[in-house]
Amino acid sequence: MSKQILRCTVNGRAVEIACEPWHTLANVLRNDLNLTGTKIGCDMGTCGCCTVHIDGKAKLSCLTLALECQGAKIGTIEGLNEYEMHPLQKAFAECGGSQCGYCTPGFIMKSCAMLKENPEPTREEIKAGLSGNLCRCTGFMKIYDAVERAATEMREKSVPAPVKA
Amino acid sequence: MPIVQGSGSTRNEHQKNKGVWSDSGAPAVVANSIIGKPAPLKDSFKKVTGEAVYADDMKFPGMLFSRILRATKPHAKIKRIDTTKAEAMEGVRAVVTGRESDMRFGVLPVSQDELSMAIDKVIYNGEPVAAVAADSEDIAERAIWAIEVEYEPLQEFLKPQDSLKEVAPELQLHDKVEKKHPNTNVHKAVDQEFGDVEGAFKQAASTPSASFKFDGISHGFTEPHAVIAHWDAEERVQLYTPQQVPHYTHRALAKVLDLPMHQIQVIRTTVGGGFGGKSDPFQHEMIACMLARKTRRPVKLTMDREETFLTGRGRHPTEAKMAMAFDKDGKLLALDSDVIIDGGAYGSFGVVSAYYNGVLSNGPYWLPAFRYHGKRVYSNRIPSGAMRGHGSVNPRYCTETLVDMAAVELGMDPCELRLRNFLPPNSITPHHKFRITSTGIREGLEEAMRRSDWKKKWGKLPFGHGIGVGCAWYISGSALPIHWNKLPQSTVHIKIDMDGGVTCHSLAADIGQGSDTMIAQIVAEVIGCRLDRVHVKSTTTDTAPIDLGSYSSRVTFMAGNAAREAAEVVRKDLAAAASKLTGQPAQYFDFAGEEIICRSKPSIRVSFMEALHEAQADRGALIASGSYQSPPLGGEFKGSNAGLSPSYSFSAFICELKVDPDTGFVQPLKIWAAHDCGKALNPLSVEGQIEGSVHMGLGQALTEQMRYRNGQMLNANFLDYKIPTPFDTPDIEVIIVESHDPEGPFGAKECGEGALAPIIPAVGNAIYDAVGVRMLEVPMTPDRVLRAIEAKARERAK
Amino acid sequence: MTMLLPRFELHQPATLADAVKLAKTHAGDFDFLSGGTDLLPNYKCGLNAHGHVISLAHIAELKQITRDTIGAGVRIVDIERNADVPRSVAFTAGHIASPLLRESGTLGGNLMLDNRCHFFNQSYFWRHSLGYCLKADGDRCHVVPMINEGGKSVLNNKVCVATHSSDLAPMLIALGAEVTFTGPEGSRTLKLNDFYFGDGIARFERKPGEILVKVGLPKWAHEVRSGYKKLAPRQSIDFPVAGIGIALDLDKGKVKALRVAVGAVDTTPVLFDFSKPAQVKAPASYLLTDPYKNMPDVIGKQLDDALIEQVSKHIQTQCQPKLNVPMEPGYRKKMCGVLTRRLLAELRDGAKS
Repeated sequence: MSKQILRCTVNGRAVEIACEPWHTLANVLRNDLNLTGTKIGCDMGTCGCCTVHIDGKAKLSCLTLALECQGAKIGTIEGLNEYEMHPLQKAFAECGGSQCGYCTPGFIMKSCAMLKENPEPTREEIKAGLSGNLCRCTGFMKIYDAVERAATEMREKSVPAPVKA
Repeated sequence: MPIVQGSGSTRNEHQKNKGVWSDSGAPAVVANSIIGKPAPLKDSFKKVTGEAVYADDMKFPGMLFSRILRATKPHAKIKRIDTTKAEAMEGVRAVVTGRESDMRFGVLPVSQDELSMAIDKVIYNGEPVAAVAADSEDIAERAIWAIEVEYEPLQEFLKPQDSLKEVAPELQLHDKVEKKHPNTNVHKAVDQEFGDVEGAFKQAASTPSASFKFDGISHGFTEPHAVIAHWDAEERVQLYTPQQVPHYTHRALAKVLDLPMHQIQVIRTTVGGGFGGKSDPFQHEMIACMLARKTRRPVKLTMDREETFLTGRGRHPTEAKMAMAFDKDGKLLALDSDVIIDGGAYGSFGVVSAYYNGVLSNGPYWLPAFRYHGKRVYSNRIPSGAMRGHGSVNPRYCTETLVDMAAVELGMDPCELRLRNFLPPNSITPHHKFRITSTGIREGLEEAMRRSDWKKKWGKLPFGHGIGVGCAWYISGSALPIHWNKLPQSTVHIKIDMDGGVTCHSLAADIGQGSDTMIAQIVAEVIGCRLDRVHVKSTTTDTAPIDLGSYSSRVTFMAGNAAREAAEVVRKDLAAAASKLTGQPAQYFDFAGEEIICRSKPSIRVSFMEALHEAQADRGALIASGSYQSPPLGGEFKGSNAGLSPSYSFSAFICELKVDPDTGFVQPLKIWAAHDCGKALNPLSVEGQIEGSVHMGLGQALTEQMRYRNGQMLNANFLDYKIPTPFDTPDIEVIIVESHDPEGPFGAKECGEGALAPIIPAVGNAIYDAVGVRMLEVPMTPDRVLRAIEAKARERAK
Repeated sequence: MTMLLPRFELHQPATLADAVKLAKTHAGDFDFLSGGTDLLPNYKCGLNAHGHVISLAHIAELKQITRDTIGAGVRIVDIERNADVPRSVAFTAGHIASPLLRESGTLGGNLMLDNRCHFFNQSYFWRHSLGYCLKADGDRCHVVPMINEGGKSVLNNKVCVATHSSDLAPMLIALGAEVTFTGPEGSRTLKLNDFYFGDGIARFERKPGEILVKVGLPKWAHEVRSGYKKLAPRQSIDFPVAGIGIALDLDKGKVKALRVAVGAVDTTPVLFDFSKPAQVKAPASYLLTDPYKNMPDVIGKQLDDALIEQVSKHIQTQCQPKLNVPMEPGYRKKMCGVLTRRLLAELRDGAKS
C-alpha cells in the first residue's frame, strides 16, 4: 500500500499529485489542491454539495476515488470563472439562489453540466436535473430562477456572431 | 413583486416621539430607493465562486486535527477511562478528557449544565467523553478508538413520561431540576392561568380538543460543525467558528477556560446554515480550545454528518393536549393546553422553549382566557434546543388544527373564523401584555384567499384533493436579553475614512440570511450612498461591538435599528459639512444618489466625497455608534418576560395538495405564503426566507423525523433523515405584506422564522379537506395518513 | 471531518482477464468497485472492508449496451437514456437514487448492491454502541433477535434479514433477464432470478472471483407489457422500500404469462411467476417469502379487475417485509398489493411498451 501518482487536469491545469488509494477526489481537491470551493455536506452521496465535473459529467467527488480519475479532466467551481464570472454564478447570486452558500457550488456544477446537455430546460426538467442536490435555505425556487436566467444568457451568448462580409 | 399593504399603527406620530431618521422631521425621503429594492446578498458573489471561507476550508501552519470520542451508552457511569494507549500513538499530540475542566456552561445563565466532556457519567449516546489532537484526522480517528472507557449502564430515560417520575439522586441527569418537581428529571415547568378558562368552556358553542404528537426534527444545515482553535504566542485564544451567536460562545469560553473575555477572540467563519443549530456555545468549541491550550498549535475539529446530528439542539419532540373554546359566532374564548417537551440531555434554550410552547399561543388571535401547563424534561436523548420558529411551531399546529375543527363544527369557513379573531394593530394582549404595534395578517389572509381561489375550492374539491389554511405570528427578537444587564442588545459602529469606504462593524452574524446586506442597505439609505460603498465587518469580537446574534429573529429589527441610528450620526456630520460648504442650514439637506442636496434649492448640492472630506477636516475618520435596546414591555408576573418582543410578524398560508387515499402519500401542489414583515427592506431576501421556511416546514410536515432505537438515533444521515427534495417541494407563491412597523427600521420586522409555523397546519388542514382525517401526529408520513384514512373508514362502517 | 475510508490497495485492470487474475490473487480479501456509490459509503462506515479494491471501471468489455444486452459497467444514466432497451427498464433506471448517483452508479453495482438494514448501514460508532450485528462484526440479528429452532426460541445468530434494495433487479427478473459471469473457471450464464439466493449476508450464488459481465434480455422482454413501481419516502435520492416489476403477456385480454418481481421486501428480489413453472426455485430460496403458496391460477384467464385484485392480494399476503429499512413493514406490505394492482391495471389498459 503506497501512494500513487494521479495525473490529470484540474480546471485546465495539469496536476501530478501523490495520492493514497483510499482518498476520495473530494479529499484531494480540498486538502491537497486547496480547492475548498468543493464542499462536503453528507459524505455519502446524498446532498450533492461535493459535485464536480469529471470529463464533463457532474459527479459526486465524495464517492469517487481520486486515483480513479487518472487522466481525467476535472472541473471545480473555482474553474468556472477564470476570466469572468460564469452566467450561472452570476445568476445564482443575483436571483437569490444562494443563501448560506454551502450547497451552492454543487448546485452550480450540476446545473452547468445539465445546461450543456439541455440548453433550454423547462422548469420541470431543471427540477428533475437538480433532484440529487439538497438545499436547506432557499426552498429551491430561486435556484430554478437562477438556472433559467443563466440558460437564457448562455443561449444568447452562444448565438454565432454574424459573419463578416 | 406581490406586495400587499397591511395596517401599521400611527407611524408619523411614533416617529416624532422616537426621533426620525430624517433629521428635518419631514417624512422619510427614500429617494435612493435602496430600501425596498431587491438586492443580491453582498456575500453571495463569494459563495457562487467558491471563494467564501468556511471553517473546514481554513488551514494554518502546524495545524493539528482533532476527533471526539463519544459516549456509546445513553446513560451510564464512567467507571474508567484509560488514555495511555492513545497518548502513546505516533502522531498523537494531546488527549483530553472530562478531567480537563469541571466548569459547566450553557447558553442560558439559568441552565449551566453542560460539561465540555463527560465526567463520571454520560447522559446521552453521542456525548463527548474524550478528544484527541493529532497530526492527521486519520491518526486522530484511530487514537480515539484506542481510548478505553468502561461503562456501567444506568436506567435510561427515553420517554418523557419516565422523566416525570421521582427517582433516586443518582438517576437524576442533572443536579438542578424544576423546584416544583423535586427528585425528578423535569427541567422546567411553567403553569399559567389567566382569565376564566372554566367559565369559557362552559358557555362555549364549540370546544374542539385533541392530543398531538410531534417527532423531534433537526436543523439539517448543510455545513457540518467545524471549528479551529489557536492558543497563540501572545496567550490569546483565537476560535474560528460558524456561530450564530459569537457573543455567547465568547462568554462561555471565558468561563470554561477561566480567562478574561478580552483574551479570547471569537471569529465567525462563513456559516453554512444555522436555523438555530449553531446558536448554543458548544462542547466542541471548548474541546478545540483545550486541545489548543495543550498543544499551543492550531487545532481543527470538523465533524461528520452523524456527529452534527448528535450535537443536536433541534425541535423538541412534543406531546400536547390542547382544547379551545369558541362561541357560536366563532369568537375564540379560551385555550387550555398541556404540553410535554423532550429536552434531551441538556438545558440549552429549554427554559425559553418551555415558556414559548405556551405563551406564543396568545396570538395571532385575541385570546380572553388562557391556561397552560408545560413541562420540559431531561432525557437520555440528543439535546433539543432552538430551531427556526423556536417553541412556537408545534403548538401552532395544535391551535390551527383546533381552529379548523371549530370551523367545521360551527359550519363556518375556517378562513372566515380566523378573520373574526385576529389581534388588531395597536393593541395589547389581555394577559401577557404583548404589544401589537402593526399587523397585516388580515390583508395577508385575504390576499392568499383571493389568489388561491379559496372560496371556490375549500370544501368543494373532489375526494383526495384539498386546500387548507394556517396562520401564525412570531417575535422580532426577544425584548429581554438572556443576560440581564444594561448593555444594548445590538450596537453598530461606522467608520468612514478619506477613501470613502463605509465600514460597519457589527456582531450580528450573517448566517446566509443576509444580515450584512441588511445593515449595508440601511446605512446606504440613510447617508444616500451606493450600496457597494458599504462594507460590513461582522466576524470578529475584537473589532465588532456586541450584538446578541442571529437567533429569535432579532437581527433586522435590532441590529437594523442600531445601524440606522449610527448612520444618522454620520448623516448629521455630513449635513454639517455640506452646510459649511454651501452656507445652507444643515437641517435642509436630503441625501440621495451620492449627493447631499439642498431641499429648497436642489441645484445646490455637494457630492458625498466632498462632504466627507470636509467633515474629516481636523478630526480624521468619521466614527459613529448606534445601538438598540427594547423599550420596557409586558406584565408583572413570574415569567412575564417570555414572548415579549418589540414587534411581531404575522403570516397566513394556504396550501393546496393531493392525498393518494390508497397509499397515504401527500403531494403538495401549491403554497400561497403571505407574510407580514413590516417592510421588505430587501424583497429578494424576504422571499428567499419565506420560501426556505416553507420548504423546511414541509419537511417537518411530511417527511422529517429523528427516529430512535432506544437511545440511538437511527437516521443520523442525509439518506435517512428525509429533507424534501426538489420533487417533494411544490411551487411557492410568496405574498409580502407590509404593515410598516412604527419601531422597526424603515418599518421592518422579522421574516426568517415566523413563516415556518403556518405551513404545517396548512398541510394538515388541507389533508382534512382532501380526505376527511385529522392528522394528530407530525410528520404526516404516508403510513400515518393511510392509517388515519383506514380508521376513518372503519368508523364510518360502524 | 470526512468519513475516512479504510486503507486498501487499489487495482485498476484494463481487461476482464486481468481482473479475474487479480481476484484470484487476492481471493477472500478484495471487493470489486464499479461506480462506487454503494461500496464507498459502506467502506466509510467500516462495513466489511477488504485490503484490496479491484476497480472494474476501466474495462471496456463491461460497457457495451445494445437492445438485448447491457454490460455490467454501463452507467445507470446511460440505461435511463437508452432508447433500445425496453422502456420499463429505462424508466426503472431513471428512478434509481438521484441524477448524481445515477451518473456514477452502474448496472452491475445496482444488481450487486449490498443488502440494507438499519442496524448495518451505520457508522462504526453507531454499530459499536449497539454491539454490532450478524452482517458486520457481530454475532446476532437485531431485527429478528430470536428464531425458532427445533421448537425452541433461541438467539438468532444465524440468519440475516437485511433487505435487497435494488430497483433494477426486480424489473429485470420480471423480464426474464439472464446474467453472464466470468471467473477463474470460465464463464457461465444463468437466470438473474436464480442468481439471488440466501439470507442478507449470502445474498447470491457467486463463485469466488466471478465478475458480472452483462445482463441479457430475452426477445420476450421486448414483446410483453412491462413496468415498474417504486415505493420510497421521497421522490428522489431514496432507495426503494418496496419495488414492483411486472412483465405481462396478454392475449386478447387473457393472461398468457405474468411475472411479478418484488424488490426490497426480502433478502433477495422475489419472483412471482404466475405460470408456475415446474422448476421454480425451491420455496426455501426466499428467506421470508413463499410466492407459490396458494398462488392463484391466472393463466388463460381474462385480466379483469377481480383477477388483478386476486393477484395483488396474493402478493400482499406473501410479502413479509421486516422493520429494517424506512417505513413500517405493515405499510410496505400493504403497498405491495396497492402498487401491483395499479401497475397491472395500467399495463392492461395502456399501450404495449
